[in-house]
Amino acid sequence: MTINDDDFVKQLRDRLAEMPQEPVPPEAMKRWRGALDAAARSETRVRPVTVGLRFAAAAAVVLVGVGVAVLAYLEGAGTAAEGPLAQARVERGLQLHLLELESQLARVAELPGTERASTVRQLAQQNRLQTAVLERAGEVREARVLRAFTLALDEIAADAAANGKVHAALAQLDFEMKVTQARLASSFLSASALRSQAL
Amino acid sequence: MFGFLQSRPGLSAFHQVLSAKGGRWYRACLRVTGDASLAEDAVQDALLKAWNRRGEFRGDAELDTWIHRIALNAAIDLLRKRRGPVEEDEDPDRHAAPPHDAPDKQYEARALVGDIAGSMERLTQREREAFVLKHLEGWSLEDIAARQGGNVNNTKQALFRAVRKLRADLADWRG
Repeated sequence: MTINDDDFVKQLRDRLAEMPQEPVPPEAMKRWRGALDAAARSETRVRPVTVGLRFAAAAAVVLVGVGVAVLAYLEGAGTAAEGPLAQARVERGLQLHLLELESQLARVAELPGTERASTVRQLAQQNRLQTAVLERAGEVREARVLRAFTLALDEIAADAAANGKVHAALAQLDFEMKVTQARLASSFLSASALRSQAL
Repeated sequence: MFGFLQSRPGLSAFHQVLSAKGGRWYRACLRVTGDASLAEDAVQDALLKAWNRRGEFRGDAELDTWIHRIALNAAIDLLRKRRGPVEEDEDPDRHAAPPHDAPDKQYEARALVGDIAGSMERLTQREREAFVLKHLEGWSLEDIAARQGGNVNNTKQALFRAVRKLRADLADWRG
């Protein structure tokens, strides 16, 4: 008996419906649930991340403002070496910058990959600005330290989309920053004492 | 009418529908791709796409149906990524002869599963997609043509070839 195509398709569909159903591999179901949960979790982080980015942007604006003010002062008052007040401002600016950088890096580790990369790139940019301020002020040694931080930040930003070694790199950078801050604090105290004696 | 008042489905609704219908999505994707790992990936992609676009879910269809359709599209996309674009109308005689002689009754049920799977596997990608979407998923010819990037006549031809090949392959059990 010959049947037409429509009947053939109907028969095929019926036979398929009668056939034992291919079970979902348990590990696949687990993976799907995990992916769904991860998507939901990453979404709940969006709000804090946005706030973090806004905060970082605001901090960048403040830093640029400080940098421009210091540069303007230095240009108006001659060289940095000639102005103890200018040097004190630069030192204070650097300390604030390092504290700000440290505080933002502490939050970076908690961000999802792509947000982390953009935040770290922003921090690297802030660091470049501060380095330029230091160079203009003749603070060569401190500028060199900040350039090293910029390199480390660039590397972290490049790897930030993947979790890989980012946490370890951030921890290492945080440690180096703390050491640098302690060293700078000690160095500034000595310089400040010398300036007081000179005045 | 008051669709805008409906809230978008939450995580628990997604988990619930995944438990109830995940198997159906997986099997539909498996029929399209013929590959278990691609079918798994398609369901995962579909879940994530649906989750990210759940604000667009209007509620005039079931969440299950909406994700099911996204999964089929994801399966087709994944298949094309892996195997390249669908081949255009090919030599209709390329299709191989039935893989075996008529099975003994005792093994008929088991053999049938293998026969159908094997026959589907031997269809071209375009034919397989068209057949599954039209005859097993109930898509319209226009929707299939749009999804495959062709016109309705191309889809009709692909369906015709698919049915012809399947009939030749499955003649033994059709009875």
